[in-house]
Amino acid sequence: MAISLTARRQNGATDFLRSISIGLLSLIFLLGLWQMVITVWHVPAYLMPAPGHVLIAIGTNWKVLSAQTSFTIGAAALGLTISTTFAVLIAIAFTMSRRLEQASLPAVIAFRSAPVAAVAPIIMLFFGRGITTSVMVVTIVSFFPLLVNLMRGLASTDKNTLELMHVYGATRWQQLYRVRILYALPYLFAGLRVAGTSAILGAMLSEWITGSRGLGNLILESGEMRETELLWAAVLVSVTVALIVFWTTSAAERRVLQWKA
Amino acid sequence: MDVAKAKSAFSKVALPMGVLVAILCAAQTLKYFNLLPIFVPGPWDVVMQIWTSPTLVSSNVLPTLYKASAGYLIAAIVAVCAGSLAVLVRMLYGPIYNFGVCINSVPIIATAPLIALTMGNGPQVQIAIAALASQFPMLVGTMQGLRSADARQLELMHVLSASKLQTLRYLLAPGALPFMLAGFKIAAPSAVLGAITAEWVGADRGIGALMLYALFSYDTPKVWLSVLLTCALAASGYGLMALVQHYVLWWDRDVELES
Repeated sequence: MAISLTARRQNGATDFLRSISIGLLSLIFLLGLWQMVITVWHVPAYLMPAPGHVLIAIGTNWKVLSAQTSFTIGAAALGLTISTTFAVLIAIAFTMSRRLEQASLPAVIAFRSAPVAAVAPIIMLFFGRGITTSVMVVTIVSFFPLLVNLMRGLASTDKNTLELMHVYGATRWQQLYRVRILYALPYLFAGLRVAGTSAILGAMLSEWITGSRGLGNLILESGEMRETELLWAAVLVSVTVALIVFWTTSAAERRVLQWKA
Repeated sequence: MDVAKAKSAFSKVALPMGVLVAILCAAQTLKYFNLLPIFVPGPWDVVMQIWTSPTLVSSNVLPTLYKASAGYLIAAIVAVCAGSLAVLVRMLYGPIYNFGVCINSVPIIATAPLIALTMGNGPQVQIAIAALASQFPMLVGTMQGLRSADARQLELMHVLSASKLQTLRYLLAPGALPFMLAGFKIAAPSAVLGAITAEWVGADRGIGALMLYALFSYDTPKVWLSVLLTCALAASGYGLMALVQHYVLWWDRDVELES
């Protein structure tokens, strides 16, 4: 048992190194491809600047980029925290009371199918052109994948384990925090993976329509001003942020799943 | 006709409809007594928007519909081809799948100004983004579906000395269809949403453009109208694909796509 555990841990470490090196290699490959496209087809710099120039633009516009990025990430993180808290509380409430679940599930499903593009304008009418709108949009967009996953997770508990808890005379709360929550954890992280990417997206989208500060607005404005290098730099930063969120949540999910495997 | 069936259909349709009508009536009453906040128009005001200027609706819905369906079709063709290629050539499986995941996890509409820069300021930008936004479920559906055939079934086809084409026709295609149609169904609303968000960046016609103009002039009934149109378009795309799924697949409807 111990041997297999350490072996697995080493495996995990080599897997990690391998995925990092693959990521770096593909990054270098993409940059090379980009440079090659420019030199072969003589793409003018106002359409597609050379990767070196974009990196320099990231350097010179460091202050603007980091300020706007932290704004966007802040809104996304705040919204995600709020939605996770509410999703956990409501999922637990639903597990505790079936009647509550039956009563409110249709409303949940109806809201869940409402798209971001439709939610954002109405939120803006409510909260005006500030960061509150971004936070609310992120909260609403990320809430439903989390709730659905959590409910599925809490329901995924092994029947035999629940029966054992019943035989031991455990209360519903003991059942919840000793068994059900452990079963729900992998589902929570799967939900976070989906919700994390849509949170960044939601924050940037709401900046577009409200015109408030942030990475989304920086992209839009530099595009309109034809500041191509800044535009490419901002897009690169946003893609990097999104990929980092995706990778961290996937890694966290795998880590939690190890316990089950 | 089965009585129980009719009853359940009634409660499925009539009950939500009744609740909806009740909510609308309540909202209208509240609006009449000025009890609603200023940014919530009465339902009747929104309906009157359609009535007073029907061209406003049609001249904005049709461009969005065209862009979304064009992008959706392109994405469907590319995704099905790429998915089949990935299943055929084992070496390409990982790269194609990961590429799809990357496009899907990157905020693709954030690159809309970039695409506008290289493709010009026409509907082609919105078409491209609708295609990029909707590709992933279709790719996953195709890849998962073509691999869903059982090894024993493949062996049977081999024993019957079926040609590759026959294997495709009698085993792989029918097996893949449920997964592909499930993917197509999920992808339909994302194509609509991709087109609409891309219109925010720059378009003179379309639901997204209507929404943005209305937002910046605080024309609340028009904002709500554009939101309603968005929901209606996304839902009807989903509904259309669900109908196709219902009539094409009579044998096996419930498959679950891996995310």
